[in-house]
Amino acid sequence: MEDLRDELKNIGSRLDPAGKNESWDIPEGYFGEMQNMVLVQLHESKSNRPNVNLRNLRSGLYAVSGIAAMLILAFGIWFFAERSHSIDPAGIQELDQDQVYAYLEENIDEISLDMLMTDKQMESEILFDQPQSEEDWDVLLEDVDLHDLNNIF
Amino acid sequence: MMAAEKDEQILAMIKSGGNPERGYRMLMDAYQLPLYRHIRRMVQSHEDADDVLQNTFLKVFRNIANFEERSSLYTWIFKIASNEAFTFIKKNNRHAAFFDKGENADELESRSVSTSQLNGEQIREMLHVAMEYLPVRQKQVFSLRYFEEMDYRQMSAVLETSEGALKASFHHAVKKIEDFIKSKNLY
Repeated sequence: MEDLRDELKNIGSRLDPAGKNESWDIPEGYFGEMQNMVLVQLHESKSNRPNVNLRNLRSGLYAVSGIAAMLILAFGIWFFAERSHSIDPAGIQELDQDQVYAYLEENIDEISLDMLMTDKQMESEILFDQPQSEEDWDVLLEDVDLHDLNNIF
Repeated sequence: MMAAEKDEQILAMIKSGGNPERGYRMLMDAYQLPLYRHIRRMVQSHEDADDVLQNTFLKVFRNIANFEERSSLYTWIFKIASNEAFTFIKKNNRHAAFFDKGENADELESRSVSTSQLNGEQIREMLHVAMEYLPVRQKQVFSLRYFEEMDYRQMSAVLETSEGALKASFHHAVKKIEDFIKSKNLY
């Protein structure tokens, strides 16, 4: 109090610290009502607040993270599989020439030309041209069985 | 009972969890009047002061478990109240800046000045009119120092401002109030 008086005197103020009563009135019974209001709001906010257990929250986070990681992995596998399939559908790029020849030799009876060539290649293939000489005809008919020809006609 | 002892008793009652409601009521009984007066000087109307006071107590009770007692309970509560009042004023734009009259300044001013012989009550009203012209932070400084007679160390903790700046602010506030009253030929 003395400090304040001295301070005001130093400032040169004539404000009298003794006359500090407020110029307003507080409504009668206000503080009792205010206390009740505060406590009601406090209880409401406590009962409305979700009960968050950090342990549960952590395990939930782990589960979500795991699912997310699995989804990312699955997507990654699918994406790269699609990509490699579109570039080299049969994986032929990975085979060397010797392997291809070995495969063809082993399965020559089961492989037809249309499995190895496109339609355009087939059309332009010399084997389907008209034979030019008797020798060509002989080569073509070398393995033909007369019995088969009778069945055709 | 000394204020500090009473604060310890209140804190123990609330934090121990035995009977927190009794502790809440004890705390409100101890602080409601000084807090109400401090807030009311900032916001002027009773309804606004009621809003801010309720919010202050709610904030106090929701955070009291985390109160580490580095400062006194009194300082901590006044800090919350000052921040709540400041936020309320800024949010509702009800702050009466210097030379920008507050909502009930006209009424008080005309009532006070119309009487040539001012009594004590009218002088107090005039003081509150003059306070309406202060910037909100300066008003808080004046309120805490002049009305609550808080020392600068505590004020520094409440308003998070250096003691030197607070002294300067109080000095300016007093000068502005004096100038205002002088301009109304009250001296």
